[in-house]
Amino acid sequence: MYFLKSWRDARLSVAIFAVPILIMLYGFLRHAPADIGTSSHASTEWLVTRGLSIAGILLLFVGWSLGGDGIGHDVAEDRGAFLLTRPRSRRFFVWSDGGFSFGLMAVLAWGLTLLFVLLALVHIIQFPAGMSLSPLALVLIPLSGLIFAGLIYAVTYLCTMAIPLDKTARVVSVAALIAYAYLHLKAVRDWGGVTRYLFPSWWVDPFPYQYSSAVAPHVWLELGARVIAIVVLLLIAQVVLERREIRA
Amino acid sequence: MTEVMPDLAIETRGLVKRYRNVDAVNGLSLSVPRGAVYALVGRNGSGKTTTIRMLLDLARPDAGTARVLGMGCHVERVAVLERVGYVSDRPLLGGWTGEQLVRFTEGFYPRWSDELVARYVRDFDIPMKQKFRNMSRGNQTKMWLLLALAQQPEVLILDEPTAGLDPVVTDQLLRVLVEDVASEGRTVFLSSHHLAEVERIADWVGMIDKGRLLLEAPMEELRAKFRRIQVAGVAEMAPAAAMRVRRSGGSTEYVVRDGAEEFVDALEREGATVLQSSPMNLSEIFLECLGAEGKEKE
Repeated sequence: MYFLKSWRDARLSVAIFAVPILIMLYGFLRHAPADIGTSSHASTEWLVTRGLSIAGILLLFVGWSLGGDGIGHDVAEDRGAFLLTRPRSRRFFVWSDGGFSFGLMAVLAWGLTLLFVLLALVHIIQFPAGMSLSPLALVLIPLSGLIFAGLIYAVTYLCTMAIPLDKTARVVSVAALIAYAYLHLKAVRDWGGVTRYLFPSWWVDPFPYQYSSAVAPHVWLELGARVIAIVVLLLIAQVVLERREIRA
Repeated sequence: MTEVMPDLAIETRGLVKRYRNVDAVNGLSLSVPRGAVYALVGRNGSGKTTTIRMLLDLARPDAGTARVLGMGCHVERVAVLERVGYVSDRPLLGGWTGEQLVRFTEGFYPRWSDELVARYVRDFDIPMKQKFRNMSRGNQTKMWLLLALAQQPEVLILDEPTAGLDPVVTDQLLRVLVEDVASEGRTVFLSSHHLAEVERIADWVGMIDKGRLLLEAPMEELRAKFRRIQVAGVAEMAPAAAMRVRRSGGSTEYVVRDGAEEFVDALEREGATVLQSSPMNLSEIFLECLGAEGKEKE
């Protein structure tokens, strides 16, 4: 029942963001280098880097959009008196929003990656004999995208929960995401030392060396830490909602 | 610890809610018997809606307790909300049709009745294929009521249900409350400042002003006890039992809250000529209780 509402809220966002992705996929197919199939290195690089970037862009927007469409948005739009007088705990709404959104983002992340790989295999890449894409790529690429989108989602979700004005909350969430990304870049490029660990990136690149067989060091730790960050952000959102006064 | 009285559908004790320096609700103690049609009446901003918000756990009291059907409104909120229907003038899901809203809401309630939905759609003539945001104000209120009634609640809470409604819809709504809800022994708790409507259906009244309960009594008791007594001549006496004394022209008017017969006897013993002892309607009682408003009317 509540998932039905979540889907109704999300479907327009998904459709809006799916269109540019399809255009990008078309552009990729149209303009991919003609000699991509001649080198296993180039093939893998294409799959990994382009797949990641396309999935990442889609998921960034979907995560932001879903984060802004949760129960905080409903409360801001004065629908809280209806929804929060249904016989469910307030944490039900937070984790139902989260469950639905992560489910949808997972479907998009894996779906888009598989679609990308299939398109690449069918239309462009002729793998040299004996060469194959590591199956781990089909796990880590979408998983990394999902966790990236999850962080965007959780930050936006918390902003809409904590800030009563809907548009303000969305603007603040964008500002927070950009500001943190800037901090991360400053820490890595300018400050150096331990600060790079204090400001980890939103995004974990599982294959920084372009080869799908060469996984980034500590990738599971990096991803796990971000999952913990997502859970903490959603727990804070839950506490905010539980304390929030609703107009009636 | 406050003892829970099982014969009360709603009970608040010393309920307090403050917003910055304003006491929206200030030590409110209500006792709503099960099966009653209880009207909480008061001016705009008197604390009615804030009280309802605390009953539904939409707001947390700063002090005091609120219980519905013997359960704590915050601690046992899910169990309370399973048994309470709520009608408000706030939006439902604007882009959803009536049919979609029914499908959405029914999943929350195990006792949901599709038969009641069909019946009230027919009786209320709700355009179920229309989006909620495009419905008229009256139909929006009917939609709220339909969703609340179909869940078969033991307590129905309505916040200003007739505000902005035309007389036909108002009449329809009030009849449903009396004939379909109260007649089955379920409790109706409504807030309103439309006293004529309240008087038609309520059997208990609580009057609230500035967050404080001025009076709480069965409607019959109010009608029986509140009296306007008119005495010939300008009487100088002002017995303590009188809520208000108004001297004008050739007569004196007293308003008494209780013991009208003894009051009349006392006046007559003093030699006064009592012209009339008449009951008061709820609106008059309300104004007298508010005092300040009553003086403005003089």
